[in-house]
Amino acid sequence: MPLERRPLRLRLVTLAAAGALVVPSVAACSSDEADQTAYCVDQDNQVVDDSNCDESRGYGGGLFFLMMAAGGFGRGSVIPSSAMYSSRINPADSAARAGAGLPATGRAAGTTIKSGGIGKGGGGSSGDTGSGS
Amino acid sequence: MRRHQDGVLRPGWQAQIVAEGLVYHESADGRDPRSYWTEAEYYSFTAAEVERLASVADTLFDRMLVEAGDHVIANKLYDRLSIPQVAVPAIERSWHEDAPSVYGRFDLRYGNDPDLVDRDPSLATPKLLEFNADTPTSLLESAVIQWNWLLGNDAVQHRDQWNNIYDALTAAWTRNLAMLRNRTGRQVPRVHFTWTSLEQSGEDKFTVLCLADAARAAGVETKFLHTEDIRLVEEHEQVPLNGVAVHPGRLLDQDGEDIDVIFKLYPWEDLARDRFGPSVLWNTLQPGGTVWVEPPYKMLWSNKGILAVLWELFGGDAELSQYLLPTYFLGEEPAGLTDFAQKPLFGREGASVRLVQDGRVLAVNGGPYGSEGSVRQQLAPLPDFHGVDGPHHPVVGVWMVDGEAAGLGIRESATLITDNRSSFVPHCIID
Repeated sequence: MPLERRPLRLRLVTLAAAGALVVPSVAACSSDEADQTAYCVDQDNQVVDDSNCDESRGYGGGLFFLMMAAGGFGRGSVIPSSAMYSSRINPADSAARAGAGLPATGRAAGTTIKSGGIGKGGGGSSGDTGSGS
Repeated sequence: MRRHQDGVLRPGWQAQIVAEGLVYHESADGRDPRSYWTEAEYYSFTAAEVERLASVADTLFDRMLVEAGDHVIANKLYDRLSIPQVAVPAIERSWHEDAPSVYGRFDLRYGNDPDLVDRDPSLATPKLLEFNADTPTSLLESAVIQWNWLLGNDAVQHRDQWNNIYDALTAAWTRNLAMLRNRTGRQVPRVHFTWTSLEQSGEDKFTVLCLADAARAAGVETKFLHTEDIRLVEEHEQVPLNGVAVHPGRLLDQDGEDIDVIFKLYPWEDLARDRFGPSVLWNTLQPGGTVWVEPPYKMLWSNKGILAVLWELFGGDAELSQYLLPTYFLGEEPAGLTDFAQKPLFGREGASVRLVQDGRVLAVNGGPYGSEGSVRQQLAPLPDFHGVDGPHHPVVGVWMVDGEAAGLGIRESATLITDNRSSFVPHCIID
């Protein structure tokens, strides 16, 4: 038995039962959750080879930038503003990279940020609702 | 062990259990007038019976399941359990590291009522039906709702209850996170908690919140998200993982923050096959990778195939075999096994279970499971604590918290298969 003989009132549980703790379903309810890919772009937002943003190239040397965008863009494409998820990120700025969800150092171009890949709401697996046993 | 129908209704009990988190005590479509919670009926146990249940549960865990896990790993029996190759390194690593794990629930067949034991002496001995090691629910009911029922229901005034679940969970978070800190040097100030957004009744959410409350009591910051909102930062180049090409990746929450440790109420066997599964499994092997609670090795214990492994290892042991039912992988059972429960390896909540006696189907539940393989467990019908309103077949659930027996939760059905339409029935100790 519990150490003390008194009712158990769980704070989070009670809050949720009263409707005061709501967890929104971002991916399931939003159209803004498309996969985002980090592209290496030049000053005209034109996609260049990923390696231009690598550490070995001085993280772009002020000429090349990382940009998060939705959609598949090949080298030479100009990323339209409607597909942009971020402004241009200096590849040498580890804080800005981390803020965009990218690795703080090392190669970042080509990295994709995805959601909806775990859970029955993401189309990953089939079956009845509920996961308990 | 007795079943009592002379209980009373606490004034306002329905509102009280909802306020305490049991928002899912009524059927979702409102068609079933019965509450999932049983207010005025209950089971009683003697202190000696409780000690016996605890001792058997600890024996199952310490002396049998640990060895069964070692056996599966040493002999690489993953194919027999339908465990994908890509999951094996994460399973083995988490097993050998004794990765954080807080809870599980044994479902036992037990009915030590003198009248019932007269007819079937085997009911005096607890026997393992299955181990819900990965995603057990009915936690809130067991830890909180039935405890408050005990304190507030006049029918059981001054009685005791076997229920140390919540305090044990708090201690489990404290100990497991301290171990993780010591082993890795990571600070772990915060734990994420997740469940699937598709579960609408609230059962998964409130089970998770119960665990999160215990973590907060242990001084841990908590953050919540649905599994569907977990983000994967996926690298383009693939790497091999146990012969499978996977994208390396790390996990972010809905705000783009790193997920250091996460509790999930979501089956590992589903996660391993989900789109992010291979990357998640790869990530668990990396320094600084996300730590999942329950750990990947729970894929071994929650799999019904472990019941066949247990019987293979301990079926010949005079002492230990008494806590097991003979169980075999489908197709490997002896010819004489004509009475059996066929259970899919990944089955949950009684889904896709079939009971057969002398070649005749006694009961069957539909469901999505079975293509992964099944076991056949010798048929041992649940006891019937028959009441004025018909049959009552209880399954005795013993909660294992941090590897030790910590309390009891009973679900019963009018049918022989305990499924998600069963009721929760509280208990007390009477000497």
